[in-house]
Order: sequence, then C-alpha cells, then structure tokens
Amino acid sequence: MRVAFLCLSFIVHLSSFIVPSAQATPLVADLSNYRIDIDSGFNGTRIFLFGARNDNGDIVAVIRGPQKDYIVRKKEEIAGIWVNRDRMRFWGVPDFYAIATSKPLNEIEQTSLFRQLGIGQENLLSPPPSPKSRTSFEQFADAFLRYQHERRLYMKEPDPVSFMGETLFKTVIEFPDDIPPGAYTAEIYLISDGEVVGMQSTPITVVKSGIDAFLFMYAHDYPALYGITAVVLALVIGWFAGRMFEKM
Amino acid sequence: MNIYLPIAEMSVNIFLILGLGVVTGVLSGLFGVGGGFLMTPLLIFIGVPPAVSVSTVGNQIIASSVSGFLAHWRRENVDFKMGWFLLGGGLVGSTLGVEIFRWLKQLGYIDLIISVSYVAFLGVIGAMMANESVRSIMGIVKKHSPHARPKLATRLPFKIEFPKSKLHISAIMPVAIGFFVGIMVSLMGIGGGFFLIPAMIYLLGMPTAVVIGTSLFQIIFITANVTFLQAITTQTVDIMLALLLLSGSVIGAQFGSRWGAKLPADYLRASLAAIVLLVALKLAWGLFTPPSDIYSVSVLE
Repeated sequence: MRVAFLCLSFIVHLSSFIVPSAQATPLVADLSNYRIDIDSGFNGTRIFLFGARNDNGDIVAVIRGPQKDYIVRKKEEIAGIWVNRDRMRFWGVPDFYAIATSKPLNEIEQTSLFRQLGIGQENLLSPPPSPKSRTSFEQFADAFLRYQHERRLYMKEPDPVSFMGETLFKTVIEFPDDIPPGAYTAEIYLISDGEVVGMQSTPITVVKSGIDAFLFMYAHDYPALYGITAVVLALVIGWFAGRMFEKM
Repeated sequence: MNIYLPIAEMSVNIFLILGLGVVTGVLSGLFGVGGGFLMTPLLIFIGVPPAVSVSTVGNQIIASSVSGFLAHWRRENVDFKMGWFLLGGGLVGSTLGVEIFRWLKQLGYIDLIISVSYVAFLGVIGAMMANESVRSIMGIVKKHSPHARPKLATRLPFKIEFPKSKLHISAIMPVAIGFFVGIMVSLMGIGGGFFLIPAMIYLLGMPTAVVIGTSLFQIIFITANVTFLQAITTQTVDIMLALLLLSGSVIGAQFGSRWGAKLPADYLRASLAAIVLLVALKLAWGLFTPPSDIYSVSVLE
C-alpha cells in the first residue's frame, strides 16, 4: 500500500519536470553521513539531517531500521506461578525507528496519510482484521513499543525539526550504542493540506567494522571453528594463569 | 571506559566486567563452583541478552575452572578415575541438554523451566548442606564415619575401586550423576558445581579434600562441550566478552583456591549452603511475585 502510494507520488513529481513549469523542487534534503561503522569503541552516534523547502508545509523525517519479525508473550498466574501464556506476532516491523517533525504529529492535518506511510510508531503495527481482538492487540502493541523504548531504539517523542528562516530546516537523529546493523532508510516528507507535496529518501548503511565485524562473521560463517577457538583460548589462558601463579 | 561487544551487539563498561570476573573467580577457587550462578544473572541484569549471557559465561567458566583446578592438582587433590566416569555421563547429558534448551526456547518456556529447576534443586541441596555442615560445626557427633557413607552407591552393580577417594562403589553412580549434571549445565548456564559437590559428598561418599578438585576437572570438560555446541547451534558465544570476564576470573580463582585450602572444610560447606539457599529464595520470590512487566518481547528467528 505504502509502496503504491510512493510510486504515485514519484510519478506526480516526475510529471512536473516533463511539463515545463517555473516551480523549483518542493523539497531537497541531505544527511551529514550515510554510513555508521560500529567498531570496538562505538558508543552511539548522531546524524544531521538538513534541507530546504520551496513550498509551504510541515517537515516530517522518518528513520527506519532493518525490518524484523517479533513475538510478544504475556504472563499469567497459574497455581501461584507466573507463566507465559498468550502471544502475538508482529511481522515486518523496523528494529529502529526515529522521527523528527516541525510540528507535533497530531497538529499536522491528515486523515489516513500517516497510517499509509507508517509515520508515527502506532502506525507501524498492523491491527488484526476482527474488532474483537482489538483490545488485546492494543495491549500487545503497547508492550512492544515499551520494549523498544527501553532499548532506546524507538523514541518516545518525535525530535523537533527547526527552521532557519522560511525555507532551510535541520534536525539531529541520535543513535544509541546497541543499534542493529543493516540497511536503514531516511525518508523526509513535506506535507501540506494532508498530502505529500515533496519527498526525499536516502539509505543509511550501518555495519560492524574492524575486529567486531571479523568476530561476528567468524561466529556466523565458521561456527565450529569459532567454538573451538573460544574453548581453546579459555583453556590456554586458564592454564597460563595457573602456571604463572604457581611461580609466585 | 566502554568497549563494544560484537555478538552481544552492545557496549559495556570494561571495569564493571573485569570486576564481575574477579568476584566470580574467587568463588570458583574457594568452593569449586564455576560462579556461573552469579555471573549469568548479573550479565543479564546489566543488559546483555540472556542467550549470549548463558553461552559466554560457559566459555569463561572453562578458564577459571582450569586456573583453580591446577592449584588442586598440584596438591594432589583430584580423583581422576572418578572424574573420567563422571565425564562419560556428563558429555552425553550436556549434549542432550543443549538440544532441550533450544526446544524450550522455541516454545517460550525456557525462563520458567530455568527458574523452577533452580528453586527446586538449590532449595533441596542447600537445605541438605546447611543441615550437615552446621551439625558438623557444632560438633554434633555422627554415628558413622567422618565422611558420609553412600548407601545407594554401594548397593548397585558394576562396583570398582576408586583408590584416591578410598571407595569401592558402583560405577553407575558417577556416570548417572555426570549425565544429570550435564543436562542441568546446558539448561541453566552454570558450571554444575552446585550439583556435583553435594552429589560427590553425599551420593558417592568422596572425602571433601578431593571433591573440589575433581568437580573442577568435570566442569572444565562439560563447559567446553556446551560452549562448543552453543557456538554451533545458536552463535551466541561472545569471545570479546568472554575474554574480559576471563581476565578477572583467572586471577580471582587463584586467590580463592589458596584461601580455600586454609579454611576448615565444614565452614566452607556451611558458607556455600548459605549462598545456595539465598539464591534459591531469590528465584522462588521471582516466580511467585508478579513480574515488573507481564509482557516480554523477543525477535523471531
């Protein structure tokens, strides 16, 4: 649904180039860097997002991390003990989600735009078709959002996009130290009268680098060798420590 | 000062991890336990994913156990013959245990099983040990010989001599004990000393002096097996975290072993019984009180 919408949006803007007009591109935007390297000293980082609008409207910037499937489990008391019973699965949800807006989301005029584009964390999880399971869906969805908040991978409130004058805007996106590696996207929208009038999308690559990348690759591609190395390393270090102390 | 861990995918304070290693190392040398029962929950508490905590602590236990073991070996306090029999059962049990762990994890019941197992066994073992060691300290004279006489072990078939422990008991016992402990090691992310030591004293009737060294011998191989299997099946062993923990714990284990040799055996057993009961109580509390969040989230593989 979202893909169809984006294609449509793209074609509309393409047509504004084919038909000669005096209008400039409604929105241009860029990032301070397109790549985050996670090495041994990685402790989180930040990316600056900036651009210019040539039309009226509000800026909404969304950063999505790699999509994953999740399961949320609920505990119940059975014979005095708390045990996992009910569960709900969520498919294709981003593992990282940051959003920055020039105005609070509920002040931006729109009907179903945010749901279609997946703007706002409540719109990331698809509710079940039957209204009966609606309440339990909401509880599980809330639990999932709570979990991501705790890991600091989802922000509770959108960050502000600040304007310098009428056209230039900027904002800062913070990344904590435990961001998952993978393909991220930064989408910047110019929204006016409940419609997208300008849009820019840029990929951000988050990779492990240095010895961490090597160890991760080693652990996943050569698990047996990695396992033996881990064991032998521990045996050898323990042995040397033992010998060393005997001499003392 | 922070360092990023590649498998855990998070950054941690170096000194915190080193300190954790030293403390658990001291416990390892002192009591002949791996220290995993303390280290695994503490790692999870500071935010390391549980699967990574369990697998990586197993890796670390190898080193601290080797370090402590060497000290006991030099003092000739190891019954190797008994150790090999325990190991036979232990390798089979721990391999089976890793499979059971994976299966329970998929069903979502692994946390419950771990907690219930801890509470049941630690509670029983702790109570038994407390009873025995306190009576020993208070000088309540027992009717039979200084070290507990095993009843079952002498009645089962396949009896052989274990000269170091001065025992003539069934070989089935050590193999069965090793097997059972092997399963628990894989399920609970511990070294197994908590089960081994009381089992050796009460079920096999080994003298206390030999128990710790022999238990460490067993722990080394079982944890090596589990680490290797976890690396293959779940890729949750974080070498960098393990190395950090190792650095602290090998040093701690040496000091623990020295102090342990000087302290009277029954005081050691009483202290261990106290720790065991405290951990069991804390886990029981966790089972029966409502959790801070009744919802829990995990990624579907």
